[in-house]
Amino acid sequence: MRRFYTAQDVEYAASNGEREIRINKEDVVTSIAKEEAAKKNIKFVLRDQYQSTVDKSQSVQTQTPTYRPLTTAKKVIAPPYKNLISEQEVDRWRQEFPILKNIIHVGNCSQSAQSIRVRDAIDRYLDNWLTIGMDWESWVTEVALAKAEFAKLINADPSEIAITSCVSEAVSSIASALDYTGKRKKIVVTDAEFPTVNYIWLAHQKYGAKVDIISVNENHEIDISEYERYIDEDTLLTSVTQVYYLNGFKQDVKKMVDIAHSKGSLILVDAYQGLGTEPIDVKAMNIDILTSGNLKYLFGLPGVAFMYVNNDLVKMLKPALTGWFGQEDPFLFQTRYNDWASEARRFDTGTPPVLNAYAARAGLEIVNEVGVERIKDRIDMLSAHALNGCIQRGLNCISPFDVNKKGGSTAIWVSDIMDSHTVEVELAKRNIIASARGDVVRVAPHFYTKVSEIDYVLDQIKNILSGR
Amino acid sequence: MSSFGFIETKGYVACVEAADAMVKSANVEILKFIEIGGGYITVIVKGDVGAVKAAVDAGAAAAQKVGELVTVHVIARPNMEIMKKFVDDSDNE
Repeated sequence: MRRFYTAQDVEYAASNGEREIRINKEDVVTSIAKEEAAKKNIKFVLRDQYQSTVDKSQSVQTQTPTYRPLTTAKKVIAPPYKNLISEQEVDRWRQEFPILKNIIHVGNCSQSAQSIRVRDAIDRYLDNWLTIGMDWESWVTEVALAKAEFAKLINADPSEIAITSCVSEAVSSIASALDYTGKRKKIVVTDAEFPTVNYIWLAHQKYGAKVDIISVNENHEIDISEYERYIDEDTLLTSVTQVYYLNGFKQDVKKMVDIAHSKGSLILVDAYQGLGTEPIDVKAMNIDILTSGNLKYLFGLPGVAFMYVNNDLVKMLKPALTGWFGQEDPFLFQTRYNDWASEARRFDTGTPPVLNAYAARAGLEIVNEVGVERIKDRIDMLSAHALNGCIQRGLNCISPFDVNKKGGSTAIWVSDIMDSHTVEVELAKRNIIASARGDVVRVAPHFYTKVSEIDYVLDQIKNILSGR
Repeated sequence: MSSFGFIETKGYVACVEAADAMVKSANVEILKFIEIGGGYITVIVKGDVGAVKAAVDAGAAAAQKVGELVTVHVIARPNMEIMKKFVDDSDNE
């Protein structure tokens, strides 16, 4: 699709110190944009022409695809590194994750490494099933313990935690409990949500919901003032992600909560992309609803998610997406009426994901044992190192260069050279797990990642993009 | 003499967004919306040439943020007879 370049694009390029804007043949540059560019001595260059110039100048040294270095000058801002986890402790913890002996794992924004503890927990269930055969009492107890471990992570009461198979189910449960027939029927979401969340809200337009979507800006971020602009007295619920899955842009949850509440809107936080790397206190932050799965930074696996619902809110919500485990007494086996549980358990649906709860609890235990403050300290340090590494190597990073506004992922734009999935596959051949999404490859360390591993990954990405 | 600015989008929302941005960014007047069919819609503004250029630039930026921008155009010194046929703005100076 052709793009229209306006004065805003010129302003943006100028503010980044760029001297040229590369456009495609079919793109359109408005007259005002041309005038602004002339004033600021910025040129619009056709991509083909630019590429052929680069190819000619480098034809002897390199093969296609030609790597295009980033010309923009950027500076990394990072909080002071407190060294809360020593390298010796990191080395000890690495023993817990056998894959790290042979593989560099920076795909934690997609799936973290398997730990011995999680594997043992899964084995515990399988052994129980094999030997006891049927042990519902201990299985349901394990689900409750997993909920308690999740509650501990976010400073909630275990009675405020529901368990589901995925975040989509959790959000759908909330969406099915809202009334869209009154004056308040607007749902404010953003382009930074993991798309599954928006699909759910958009699907509820058939029940009267009005969905307003806040766009991300050219920096792949959302200015907090956008929430002031979009959330109003008609807003029923604001559904926001803590961290943007694409580039790791991290939002100020407390500020979003305050804005939503000042307009009388509920707020639902999808913390999947950041939980475990950023402390969350649902009480201090006054969050209404928070949900997350476990396979990313919480060392779990697919097939299980948790949702916090503030106790004061629970009784006001009667989810239509329900099941027998969401009822006050699932074992009453009556068939004539709904009797939703008085606690957040009312958002449970059918038979819980028992095996996955074993794994989830074990993974959560590791996070709680290491401590999120300490994990954040190390990941922030690794983030700053990755951002500086991108600058040094001329990699086109689209993550915030202020680490205070960034989660674990560092996103490197590769699609103008190579398909991101191809880069992911090439990295895998070099014993690196990274995660491709759209136009970018994401480098997402965990607390077990070493600085030298980040350097190696960035070197390999540069090599791949340079055709080496 | 007034100049004319045109923004065409696919989808109504982008066109409304463009129109909103245009009138907020420069001293232009919206003449009309024309629904072409198939989801295509055009908004036409009028004003002095500088204002129209600035408005179309701002409108283009706004429209493509929320929807699909199809084309933009500024006619700095239009033939009024032609404009009357297309735009039906009979009180042009």
